[in-house]
Amino acid sequence: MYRALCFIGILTFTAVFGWWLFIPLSIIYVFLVKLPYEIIILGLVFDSTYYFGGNFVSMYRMTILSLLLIGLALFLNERIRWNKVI
Amino acid sequence: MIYLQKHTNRSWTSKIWSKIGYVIIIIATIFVLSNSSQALHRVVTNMLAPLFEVGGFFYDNFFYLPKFFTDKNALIEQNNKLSAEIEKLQSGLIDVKLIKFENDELKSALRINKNSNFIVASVVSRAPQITMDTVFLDKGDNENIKVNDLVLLSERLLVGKIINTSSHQSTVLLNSFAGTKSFGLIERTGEMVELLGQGGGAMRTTVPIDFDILIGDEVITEGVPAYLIAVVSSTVEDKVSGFKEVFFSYPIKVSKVRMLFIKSMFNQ
Repeated sequence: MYRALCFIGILTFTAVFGWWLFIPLSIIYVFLVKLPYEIIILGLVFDSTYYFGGNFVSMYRMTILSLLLIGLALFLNERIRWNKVI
Repeated sequence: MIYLQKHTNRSWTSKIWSKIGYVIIIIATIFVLSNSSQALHRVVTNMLAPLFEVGGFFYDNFFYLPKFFTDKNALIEQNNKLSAEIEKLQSGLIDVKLIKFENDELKSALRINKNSNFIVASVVSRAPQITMDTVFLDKGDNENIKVNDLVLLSERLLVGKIINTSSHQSTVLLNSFAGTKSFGLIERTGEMVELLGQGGGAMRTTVPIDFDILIGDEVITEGVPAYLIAVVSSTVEDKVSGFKEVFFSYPIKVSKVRMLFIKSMFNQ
């Protein structure tokens, strides 16, 4: 339930207030939620909405960021102590 | 009966490999989805359109908030100043109307079609809500807007082109978007220049130091009708290298406009 709310929250706040909000929100989300694969979907959604440029890295900027974050969370899974696992 | 739960002793390397496997599956899924990016773009923009409108409304009104707290005398003074400016502009408008009439006469003499079909669209969102030098418009496929259609700020000022469309929304890429190249002629001399977008409404080019270009020179497109692309705003000479950097900007602040005109490339 909390995960779904967080997901909708990031989607709404980023769409209303600006693409740049996705970066801090996704970082917070990764540290709040255990293995949050959902941010990849969000990254893909925002990449298809906003235009950052014609090359591959620019086209998939948000997806790459979310992949890096999820990768980090995946490999630090047993190191990070989530205070409250959502 | 008591059952003992036995832990499987998976090695450290097998755990790593399983995680790498997950990452590969995720990347593969993204590549599959990215092949249908245009379809995804349509679905997502239609879904998020109301949120963009809310955001656009917020940013439009947010910057007016401090004005509610300004001094009344300052507002009266500003009002008087604006009234004087309106009077001045009204006298200038008569001259413009005369020039427009003369221009229409000349166009009809040259047999240039003056009834070109422009689609008027409102700006839904702009930076900082979306990326700099891109604009979302409230018209899309349903209003016959296509990718690569020209986007104009007035009948003569070309600012960009359409790069994405959905059923009721389209994305404009301004000529000043970082890395975007556009070509034009300097109206005064007829010399060709390549403008490279710098972001934030700025463009630039590098030319030899003896290249004839002055501040205020207009850059226009080749062909008929010729559209104004940019105006030279400053030049920086580098005598050591023998080149000079020329900076261009739009004659009007694109970040403030609420309406844009779209000219279909199909009709041309």
